[in-house]
Amino acid sequence: MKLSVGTLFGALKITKAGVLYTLLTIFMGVSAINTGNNLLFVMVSLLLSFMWLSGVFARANLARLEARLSYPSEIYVGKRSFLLLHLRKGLSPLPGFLLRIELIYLDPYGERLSLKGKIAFLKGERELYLPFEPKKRGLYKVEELKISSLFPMGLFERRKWLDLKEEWVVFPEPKRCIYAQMRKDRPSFAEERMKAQLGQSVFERLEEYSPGTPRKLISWKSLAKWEELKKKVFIEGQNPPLLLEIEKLPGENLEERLSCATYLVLEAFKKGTSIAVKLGNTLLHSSGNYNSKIKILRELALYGKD
Amino acid sequence: MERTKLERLLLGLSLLIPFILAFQVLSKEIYFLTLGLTLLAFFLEGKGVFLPRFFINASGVLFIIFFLLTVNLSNFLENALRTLFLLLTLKLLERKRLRDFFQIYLLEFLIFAGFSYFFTSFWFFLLLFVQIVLISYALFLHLYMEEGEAKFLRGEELRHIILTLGLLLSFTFLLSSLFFLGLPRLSSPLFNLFTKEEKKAQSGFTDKIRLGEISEIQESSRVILRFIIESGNLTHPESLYFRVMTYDYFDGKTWQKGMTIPDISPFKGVPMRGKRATIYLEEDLEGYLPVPEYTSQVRSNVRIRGLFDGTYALAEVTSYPLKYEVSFVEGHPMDEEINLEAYLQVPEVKESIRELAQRLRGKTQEETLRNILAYYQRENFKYSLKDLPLGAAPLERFLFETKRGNCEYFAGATALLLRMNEVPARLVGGFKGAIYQKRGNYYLVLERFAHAWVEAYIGGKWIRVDPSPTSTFQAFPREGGLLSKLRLYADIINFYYTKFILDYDLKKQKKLLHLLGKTFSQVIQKKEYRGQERDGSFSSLRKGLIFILLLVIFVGLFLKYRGLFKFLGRCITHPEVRLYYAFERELKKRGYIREPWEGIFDLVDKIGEPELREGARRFAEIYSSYYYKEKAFDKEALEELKSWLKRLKSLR
Repeated sequence: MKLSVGTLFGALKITKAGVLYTLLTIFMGVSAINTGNNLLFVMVSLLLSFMWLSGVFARANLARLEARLSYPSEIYVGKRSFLLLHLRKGLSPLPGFLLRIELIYLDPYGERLSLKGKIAFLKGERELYLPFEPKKRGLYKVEELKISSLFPMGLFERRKWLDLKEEWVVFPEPKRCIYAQMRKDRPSFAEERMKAQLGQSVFERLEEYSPGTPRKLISWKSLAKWEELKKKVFIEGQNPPLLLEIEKLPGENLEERLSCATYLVLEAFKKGTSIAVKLGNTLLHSSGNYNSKIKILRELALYGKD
Repeated sequence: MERTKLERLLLGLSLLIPFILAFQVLSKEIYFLTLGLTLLAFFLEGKGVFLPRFFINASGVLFIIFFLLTVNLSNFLENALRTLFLLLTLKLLERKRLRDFFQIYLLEFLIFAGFSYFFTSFWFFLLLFVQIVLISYALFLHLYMEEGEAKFLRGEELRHIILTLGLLLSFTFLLSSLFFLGLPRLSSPLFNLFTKEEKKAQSGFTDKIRLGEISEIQESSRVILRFIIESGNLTHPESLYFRVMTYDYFDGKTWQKGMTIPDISPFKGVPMRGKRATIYLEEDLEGYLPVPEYTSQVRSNVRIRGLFDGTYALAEVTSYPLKYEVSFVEGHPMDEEINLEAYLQVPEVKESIRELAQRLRGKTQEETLRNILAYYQRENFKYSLKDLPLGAAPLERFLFETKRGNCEYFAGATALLLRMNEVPARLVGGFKGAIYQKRGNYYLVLERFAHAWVEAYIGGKWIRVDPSPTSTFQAFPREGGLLSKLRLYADIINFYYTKFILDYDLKKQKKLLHLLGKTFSQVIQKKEYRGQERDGSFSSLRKGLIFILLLVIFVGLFLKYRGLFKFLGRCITHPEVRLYYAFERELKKRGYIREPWEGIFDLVDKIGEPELREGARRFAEIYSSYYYKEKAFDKEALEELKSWLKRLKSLR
């Protein structure tokens, strides 16, 4: 239902129903004065009081709201993802009703975009799932969080802006590609896997488990022994890490090459292959753990954006 | 509850009161048409059938055109209400979205505005509030389900909705009383929507007295009027006569007004110092105003005609309850003599009545009257409301056969017998008796007090003759029943409602403002105003004003120190908050104050004394383990917090 017609002032917007209500109040007020009918005066008094108090209650409805944002650690261009808005109503005798939420953010090119959602009833804390499918890689920043409500009767829409300092990075879209360099200089992923299976890689130590560790690198023994997940770290024989030089990757433009690099990085991590990425003058080494993967992807996402 | 079911239930409930009230206002054809269509709409909605929107809109436009073509000042209200009801019914027949629900409730509200011209009792006022509560909840729930895209409502949500909206409505009702007192008013209305045609809630009083007719209304407990005596009380309220109209023409069965009574008060120029009373007339009595006998002066906001027969009538159409003030002296007969021949008119009567009249003739007019009254006693006439003599010759049957009748028979027969003996006589219709309501210090006249008596022109004066046997005339049937007692109590509410709400006008508003200014200045100057209040109503008004003033101050303080009130509220509802603030207070006494940006542990870290710090840390740990993990503080946790707080206090 679209009710809004115009803005009275910043925090308040009168709806069509509100305009009708105001006209009704004026009409009945004039009728009451003209006819001297005290019951009409009673009705007009009720209309006026309700109008004023609904403003007060609408303000209380949006008072003491706190918000924070959480999001998945990996968001890729063109892939369906989400943001989670945690909205909390602080100590207040009244819960929050009919909250319309608009998360306004800036994409890496500074364009204002928004995600919208609704929470009908808020007491304590609730999470709002905001579907998010980015089109561009880079750093996204929340500009503001707009919360509005038609509470209590849909006569006015009260709004409030919450300061939310949040930013997140969207990685380039992983696009399947073949890196010719890999065939010349490196054994294939399959060969490498064979090597690992044959025990050519030398076991070095056990490390703390981090999410995203390939299954074959998990030390099942230690799980059985101490009920703790550990990750096996191998010394990769004599092979130097796979070097991904952005300029040499296939692709017509930088974006395509970055997409290719993203794909290759993900593949390498999936298979447990160590890699190094050369971005301009920067060389990024993978230490094989999840954090280094995110670090490399982040650099790919932000490359050329400064 | 499921959305569609809930929406239908809300809609059905909101239509209940309008349809109950409409029964008394709409013509029966329109009423049953709209009721039928409404039931049909609900039935069709249950089957998922709706009328197309263009049909609804086209019909709506037609109804409005019809209204505009047929409306005039004399039928405005009835016509408007009929159109509103038809539009409402139409809206019910279509598929309803949020917008349509809004429109339906708007129509219901307008219908209530229309009703306010027809119903004036406190019960309507109460129903209006019930309807507003219903509409508000219904509107909110429709909006809630639409905005929240809810198909069901959970119990917790519903509970919070009921509480929050209940709070909003309670404040609305309180605040509206201030608006009501302060809204601008005019000294007299610009438009008058009351017309003769709209007298729906009319009492059984008519400009004719047909024998046997009053008996129907003598069972009714409907309130006709309430009055307040300005100073002192009536010694015998049960024998107070309220004069409404006189009847001079008798056709053998019916007494009615035959001649036009000129607009000259019989008391004109006669200085009469008597009691003063304020009367609130609830219903229209053919435009006549009941006045206590004998009233010399009537004052009101509307124009009033004082008539030569001692009655008073409205010179313009007005709304009810109508307030007017009268000055009257009990037992002061009138001496107007105009067209006395008209009061000697006699219809064709049977020979037997002629013979009786002849037999009762005395040497003087007084003696004739005494003979007539003695005849009733001698022949053992009885007062009765049942088995009254009707038919072709009711008076003859009353006088010679049944010898039972109500006041109309006694008065009618007496007036006739007097006239047949050349004594000018007329019938007076009105009310006899009043109930004194101690709690409101007012008198109440009910419809069943309707009475008829005779006035005889003897010795140059009109003398009241009430031939009905007083011992048997029961204006006050024994009322020991709980119901009648409750009814009398309920009337006190109605009385105050009439006095303070329906009768509130510019004059009272000015008085209120004046008093408000005076009270305010007295409060400022701290004047002693004991002993200054002579007038009881003035004093109670002042008390009311002081109360309102205090209320305004309280609301002002509330708005100014909202934080404090909120804190108090939270302390009441959340014991842990209370304990936390006690904890902060305790540390403040020791010189450790929490800055706004600091957390509870920052505060603890500032403490120098190791023992106090440890105790405080323990308190902070328990508190934060519940508060930040969003666990509800259970009894155990609260007890523990209490005991740590006690320990901290003991370290002083």
